[in-house]
This record gives sequence, structure tokens and C-alpha cells, in this order.
Amino acid sequence: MRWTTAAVVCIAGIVLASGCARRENHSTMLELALENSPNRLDPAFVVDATEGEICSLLYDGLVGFAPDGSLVGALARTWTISDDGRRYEFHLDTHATFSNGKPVRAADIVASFRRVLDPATASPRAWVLARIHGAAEFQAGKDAGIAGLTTPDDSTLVLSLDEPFAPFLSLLALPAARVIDTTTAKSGDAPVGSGAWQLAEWLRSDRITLTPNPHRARSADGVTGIRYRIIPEPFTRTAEFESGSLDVLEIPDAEVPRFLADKKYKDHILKRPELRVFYIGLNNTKFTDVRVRRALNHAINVPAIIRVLASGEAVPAHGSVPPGLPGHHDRPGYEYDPARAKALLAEAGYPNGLSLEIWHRESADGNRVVEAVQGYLLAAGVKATLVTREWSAFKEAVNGGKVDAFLLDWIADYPEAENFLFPLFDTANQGGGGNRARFSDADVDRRLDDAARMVDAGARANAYAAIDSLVYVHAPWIYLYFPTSFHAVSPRVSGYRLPAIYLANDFSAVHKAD
Amino acid sequence: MNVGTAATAAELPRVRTAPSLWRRLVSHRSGLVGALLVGIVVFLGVMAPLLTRSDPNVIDMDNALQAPSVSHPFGTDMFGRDVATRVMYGARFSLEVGVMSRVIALVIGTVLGLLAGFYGGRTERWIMRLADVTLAYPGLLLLIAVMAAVGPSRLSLFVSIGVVGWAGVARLVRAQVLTVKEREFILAIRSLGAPDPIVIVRHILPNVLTPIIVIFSMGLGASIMAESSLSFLGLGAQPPTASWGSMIANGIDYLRVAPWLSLAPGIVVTLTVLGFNLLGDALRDLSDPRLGRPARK
Amino acid sequence: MLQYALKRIFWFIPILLGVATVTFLLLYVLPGDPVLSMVGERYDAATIQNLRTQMHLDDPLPKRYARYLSDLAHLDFGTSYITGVPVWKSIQERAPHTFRLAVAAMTIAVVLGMTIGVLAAWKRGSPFDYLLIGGSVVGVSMPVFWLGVLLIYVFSARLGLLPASGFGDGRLAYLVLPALTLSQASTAYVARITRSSVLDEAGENYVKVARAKGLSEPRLLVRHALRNALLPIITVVGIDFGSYLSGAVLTESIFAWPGLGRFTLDAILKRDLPAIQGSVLFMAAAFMLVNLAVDILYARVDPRVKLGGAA
Repeated sequence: MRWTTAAVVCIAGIVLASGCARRENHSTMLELALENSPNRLDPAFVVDATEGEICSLLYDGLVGFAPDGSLVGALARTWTISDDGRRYEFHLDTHATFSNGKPVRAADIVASFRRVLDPATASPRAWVLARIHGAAEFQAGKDAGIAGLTTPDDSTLVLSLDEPFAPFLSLLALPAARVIDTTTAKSGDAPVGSGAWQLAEWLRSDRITLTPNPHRARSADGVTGIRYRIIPEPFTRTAEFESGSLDVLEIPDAEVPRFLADKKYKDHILKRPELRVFYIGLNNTKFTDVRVRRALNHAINVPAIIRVLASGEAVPAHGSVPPGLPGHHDRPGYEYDPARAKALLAEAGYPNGLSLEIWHRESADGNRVVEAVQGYLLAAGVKATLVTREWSAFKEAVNGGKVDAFLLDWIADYPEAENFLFPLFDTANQGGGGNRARFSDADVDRRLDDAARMVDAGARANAYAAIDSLVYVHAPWIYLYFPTSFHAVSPRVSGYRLPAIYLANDFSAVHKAD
Repeated sequence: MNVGTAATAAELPRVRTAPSLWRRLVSHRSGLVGALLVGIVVFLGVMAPLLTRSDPNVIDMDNALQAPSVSHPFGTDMFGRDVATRVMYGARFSLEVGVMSRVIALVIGTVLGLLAGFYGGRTERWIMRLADVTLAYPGLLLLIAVMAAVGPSRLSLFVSIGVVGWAGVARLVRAQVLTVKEREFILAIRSLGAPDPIVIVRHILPNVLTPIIVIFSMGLGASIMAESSLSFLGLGAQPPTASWGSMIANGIDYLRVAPWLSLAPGIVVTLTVLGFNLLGDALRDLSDPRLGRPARK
Repeated sequence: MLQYALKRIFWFIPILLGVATVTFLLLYVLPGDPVLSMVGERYDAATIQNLRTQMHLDDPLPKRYARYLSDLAHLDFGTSYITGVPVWKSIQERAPHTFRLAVAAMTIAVVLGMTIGVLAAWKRGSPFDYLLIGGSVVGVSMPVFWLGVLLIYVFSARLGLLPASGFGDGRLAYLVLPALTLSQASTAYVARITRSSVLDEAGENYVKVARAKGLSEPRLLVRHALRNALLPIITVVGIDFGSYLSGAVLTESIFAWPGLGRFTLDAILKRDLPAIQGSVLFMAAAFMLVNLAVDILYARVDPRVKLGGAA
């Protein structure tokens, strides 16, 4: 009896002791969660939104994004653009300092750009800087340097383009154009940067800890650091937030109604319409009849999917440019009409329906959306087989034009309609460039080319809206929706804001009470 | 994976040519419970199309996420599908995969085990090393790798779970064969010049049949568990096919909002595996208690 | 003993070679170009080709196999395609976490399992006994991922007592739920073995004599009976420990535990060949070492068992 009692008491003691110990959450850091572990944080190799978000905290570019998505100076205090749109002159902030104490000079910027364009680096994002005059020659090995980049003095950088490109400034805010200290760069680790934060600890697949850049001015009682924990399961993330160990939670779609109704949380929820579009791309080289593609659009009840699966607040997509961007337009869409879908299919020569495969990546929300689509298609006589693949296999097949249809989303790197329409629908971008639906229309190509050159913002917006309408008529996709995300913030945290672009995150103004 | 091992021939029991186990099963209490559970699940699985009104895969978003009620005893899922119906069809799927994969494991394992035990020498060494390699693999990971390699489909589920399970079967069969091999009537037949295949198939095999049946049933629970785990990870049943594992995976995100979505399949899979485990243990106890060893994950 | 151990270790090499070869072939067959994992959304053919050449992906199969084996011989597990970190370094980072979890699970299995088993034997036949044993049988049959989710739901989301994920700053609290989940099946087995072993002993003559002499029953059970239960318990726990080290994939996934199992799962899904090969080999080696240790321990505990009759 003594022995068993002892054992029982021991176990109970352990459980209780650990329970008690845990209740106190004294962390002065901002505790956040990520679904996936970033693979690389080196700006030359950053390829997705997770990596981009952290990258923008560690590294600055010539320009950056303000929370509302507008461009603001970062390393560059001011700049001028020549009338022909080809020459940019940047005047740098002389106080900018890397986290190791070295000041940032124009030569550092050139060195960073060189590294990204250098074929030996094999950066997957070299295209960001490829428009710079002389970049092509440098990459081909014909030039030792980049002709279009000059530094008249330590705090001035002059950049020339081959052709004017209105959104070019936005490209300079992307991770690939951010500046590192090339003299101390290491591979596998994150290089030294001049951003508001520096990397203190990176335990892969567990957490990433950032501490403030000591050489940047910041408010005295802001958070002492930012800790990202990698938690793949949405359910676990929610549990962690509710037990107090996470400060901010992107609420999983399934839980949004519950959080909105819960009086503990409802006043602490931030909402953000995302600059993002969910769609099912159709292989336009296989489904050549526009009636078939329109039929597939009519077969899906997008509002019902939104209501049940997407927290009810997403906006049905009647185009690819999200609301909030100039170039977005509210046009009538392909209404849910299974009868019409069947009629169109019959007209196109498929009176008994057809079969296709829909490929998608592994993701809880994506899985559900695509299963709903499958169900709707079945009701319209279309038999869809779902194929799950992990990212690289998926990309290879989709980019190679080998799949019938695929679920994907596109998120804005910079807040321009061009960032959607050009990569997604221009013939030159078929495959890996972004146009995975293999859509091709000479008229659209020409208009995109013209719009890129327009300097007047209003004219450009109208032009892009017209292009979006034109593409929509061709129905290269099954258009789904523009999502809205909800974020719950712990009552202890103040000053947390949701920026419009993921690259605009800046936690310098965040405070955490005890 | 339940891959029970018998380390030495000395540990092995004598094999009785088994009289019907039926009688003794009936009086073995936990075995009865097991048989009952298995019986219910098999019944539900087999009769599913007759017992259910709705198609398990047709969606009806207007009725999504309904709480359990008279018309939907386990509620509806996020696509409006009746959960009870899907649980029953899930039974069909899991039983099919469980049985088929176990049969494959059994066939491969028995053949190789017979050969290894009978011929000994090099044959035995190579086969056992191959078994060691298979067993050295961290269980679920091999399955995941194979499924990722060949793509999830019914057939690949059968084959991969079966292929991973052969090693334990082979070891046990070999150990059994080693004992039977030395018995007098076998020696007699061989000295009379009977060809090897005949000896193996007509004389040895029947005498190891009982343990084989036991091994088969002991591994069924593990096979079903493996299938559930793979489906949970998305590498097993594909939408819209109903499987308990994928239903649980889908339901986890709704645990606070609609707990019945994962509770129902979770309870059912537990009871099913429980039933098979109890049944398997009972068969083992009745035929020979020293036959199996505890399971590995 | 030493001879036996050395002989077993000697056999590790061909088995590991087998494991390595099987992994290599499986990965060769895996669809999906690993280079694509590395290049993100927009890229061109030249970048792809550059990377492929750098990674020797276009060499013929025998040449790749040979290079693979020679790297292994130098204990070079390569560098992860995805993270750019040397695989051996990743393994070194993750293995201790898996080890901690395994030790915790093993402890729970032994302590909790034996406690339950003794209690059940003591109260044999009572509803308590049935409940305990029933519970432990159910424990073996419940899917690990389901138990994990239930535990998180009850103890973290509802009661807020224990953290739901990660290993935090290393405090014991973070270990409790994952270890409980992982030890589920082992605890059940240990409980059953303990119980039946204790009951077997209880029927022995010397026990009856001692009882007649007036010795208190529980002490008897504990002292004498448990000793006999030790052997099978060692076996179970040893085998399970080996498989815990091999990474309990599901448990680590649910609890975001930064161990080897999850690392390998991610690597398989992302087709990170060097990481997969390295970690699978490591786990297989660990598993075999633990099995060897268990066999040796077994032999020391029970002098009747002679080593050398291994299968």
C-alpha cells in the first residue's frame, strides 16, 4: 500500500507542480505562431509569405510598405524619378545602421543587388532586379558590374532601367531587393541586416526569436522581442492562444464564429480583407471550349462555400484583382446555376458530363474547399478526382501543364493590380512564371504591356480593370473568393496592427502589459 | 505494428493440430466481447448501403454542421453529409483495407517463413536479414514514404501495409516450422523420399495453420490502426471516401464547434480495434498463450 | 556477452546498408522534383538547371548510388535541400528532444503501468479491476492521434493546466501531455503484464505460506511478484523505447514537438532526400542499439536466457 500510494502521490505531484509552474506567463516578448517553418531567411532565397514576413522585420530595402500598403522610404529617405520613368535617384538615410554596428552605405546596396543577380548565388528571385539596365549583361558574364547601378557618393544611389516600369518601386520593397551586410554573409544562417529586428535564435521547426536592432531608435517600453513558434495544427494554435501562451492568433476559419460570439475575445479581434485570391486554375490548353469553363463556374455555389467554410466574410471573386487595389471592379459574376452548367456542357458536346482531376496541396482549409467543389461538380454531372501532392511535386506537375485543374491562391507581393494580372495571365508567364492556367490571349498581352508603361495612376487602374474584365469573360479559372482573415489579440497586448501587405509588418509600436 | 517475435526455438510451444476453437471461444469472456464488437462493426460495414438512406458523399451545404438529432444521430459534417452514414461506410473501407493488407502480409510472410524454416542455411539467413531490414525501419515512416512514393489509392494501401507487416508473420511462421520440422512423421515422410514442396504444403503447412490464423487476427487491429493513421495524415483514403482517420482529421478543427465530427469516428475506431485486439488475444490464448509478444508501434 | 554484443553490432552494418539502399531507391521513385521546393513561385529554366547540376541530380543512377554510399562512409549525411543546413546538425538538434520524450514516456509507462497493474491484481475481480484493465485495453486500441487531441482539448483548451505544444523553455509541463499520449499503448501493456504476473505469483506456494504467516499481502505482491513481471516489462518497454526513438511521428505532429519523427515526416513530404536518408539511418541504428541493449539486459536479469539464439 505504501508503495502504490507513494507512486500515486509522486505522479500527482509532478502533474500538479508542472501545472502550477505553467500558469504564470511572464513573457515580455510578443508570442506569435507560424503554421510552417520557414526554410530560408536569407532575402535572396525567400520564396513564400511566411519567410517574407520575417524577412521584412530583419532587412530593409530602399523602400518599404506602410501598414496601409503605400510605399514609404526605408533605407532611402527621398528619391526622384526622371520624366521618362527610367532613372531613379535615391538619397539614403545616413543614420541607417546594420545590427552589427556598421553604417549602411550605397555600396552595400549595390553589393546586395549584385549578389542576388549573380548566377553563382542561384537566387530564385533574381527576376525582381532583372529590369535594371546592365543586369542581363552581368548575369551573362559579359560585364563585371551592373551598368545601371551607380553610387556618386556614399549616400546616393542612381538606378536606371531599360524600359520604364511603373510598379518598379514596389519591386524594390520585395525581400530580394533588401539589403544585407555582404561582408559578413553566411549561408544556411541569416545574414546581417539593418531592419528593426535582428535574429537572436533560430531553432528550426521549433521557434524563431528576434530581438530589437540595438542601432535603431525605438520606444522604450516596447516588447523585448518577438518569438515565432512553429505550430502546424490550427487546433493546437487555438489551444495555445486560449491558454495564454500565444499573444496573437490568426483564427482558423472553423472557429471564427465562436470567437466573434465569445465576450472574452470579441473586442480584441482584428479583421483584414486579404489581398489574395483563391481559385481553381483550369488547364486552358486542355479545356479549350469557353463554354466548358463557364459551365464549371456556374456549377459552384461560392457563397455557400464562403458561408460554411470561409468564416462567412470572404468576398466572391468575379475577377482576379482583390477589393482594395486600384484596378478592382465589382462586376456581375457567374451565378450558381447547376442547370445552366449542365446545359452549357451539353452544348459543348458533353451531355453526360465529363471527368477531371483537381490537384491541390496539403492544407486543412484547402482540403475542405476542394472537397466542397468536388461535391458541387458532381451535382452538375462532372466527376472530379482529388489529387493531393506536396508542394514540389505539385508545382512540377502544375507548372508543366500536366494537370487538368488545381487549387491555388495568389497573394499580393506589392499592392498593385499588375502583380496579379501580369504573372497570372500573360502568355510570357505560362508555367513557372505564375500563369499556370496556360491562358493566352494576344489582346490581353498587348494591353498588359501598354498598362505597364502608363505613368498616370488613374489611367493605369482603369486599364487593369478592363483587362481583368476581359480575362473574366474567358473564364480561365473557376473563380472562388477573396478571403478575409480574423486575428485575435491578447488583451495584454496593445499597439498591434494588421498591415495590408505581409511585408509591411512592423512590431516596433507593440506593447505588452504584465 | 503487431509484429510479435519469438526469439528462440526453445521458447516455442508445441503446435497442436487444432480442434475447433469455437467451443472454447464462447467461454472466453473478453474474447466474446471482442467477437461481439467485431461482429457489430462487420455487420454495419457490410450492410451499410442497406441501412442508410443518404449517399455518404453527396454534399448539402445548407445542412452543414447540424448537431446530432433524430434524423442525424451523429449530426452532419461541414458539407452537410450525415456522419452516421459516413461512419458506417468508413467501416467498410477500413475493414477492406485491414483484411486485404493482412492477407497480403500473411501470404508473403507465410511463404517466406515456410521457406526459411524448412530450408534453413543460407535461405533462412537471407530471408531473416530481409525481415530485420524491414523491421528496423521506423514503422509508420516506411508506410508514409511508400504512400508518398506511389500515391494514395486503395491498392497501394493494401500493398504497403501488407508489405510492412510481412516480417513479423515470417518470423513467427519460421519459428513454428522449426518445431514441426523435427517431428517424427515429418522425418518419416522425408526419409521416404517425398519431394520438398509436397512436404511443405501438405504436411507442414496444415500444422502451422492455427498459429497463422492467430497471427492474422492479431495483426488486424494494427492494420486498421495503420490505415487510420495514414488517412489521418491524408495519405490514405482520398476525398470524398469516408474513412475514420480522415474524418477525425477533418473534425479536429471543429472540435470546439462540432465535437461530434471527430468523437463519433474516434469512438468507433477505438471500439473496432479493441474488438479485433480482444478477439486476436483470445484466439491466441486459446490456441497457445506463449505465441505472441507485445506490439511495437 | 561481449562476443555476443560485438557479433550483433557487426550485423548492424549490412542491415543499415539494406535500410540505406531501400531508402535510396524509394526516394529515387518519389515523384516531385526537389529543386522545385527550393525555387518558390516564379522562376525560369536556367535557375532550375543550375540547381540540378549543383546537386548532381542528373547523374545516372549507379553513379548517384556510389556517391551516396561514399558520402555515408565518410559520415557525411549531406546538406538539406530545403533548409541548407547540414543534415547531421539537424539530427543533433532534434534527437535530444525525441530522447527526452522517449524517456518520459518510458517512465510513465513503467510507473503508471505497474501501479495500475498492481492495483488491479490486488483488487482482482472487483469492478475496479475490470475498469483498470478495460481502460488499459482501450488504451491500446485508441488511435494515438485521437488521444492526443482529446488530451489537448481537456487539459489545455478547457482547463488551461498544461501547454498544448512545443517544448517551450524546457519545463516539465511541456513534456506531460506528449509523453502521456506516446506512452499510451506501453502503459496498457505494462499494466496487463504486471497484473497477470502478480496474479500468477499469488498462486505460488511460497506466497501462500507467507500469507499464512501473516505477512501483509501488498508487500508480498510487490516484492516477489513484481520481480517476475520484470522480464516481460523490460522487453515491452525496451522495444517501445526503440520505436519512440524512431520518432513517434503522430505524437510529435500533434504536439508540435521538435523531434526526429516530425523532422522525417516533413522531409518525406517535402522530398528532402538527404534529410530523409540521414534521419532514417540514424533512427534505424538507434532502434537496433536499443534492441541490443534490451537483449543484454534481459540476459542479465534472467540467467536462464542464453544469448546467441537470436532470430
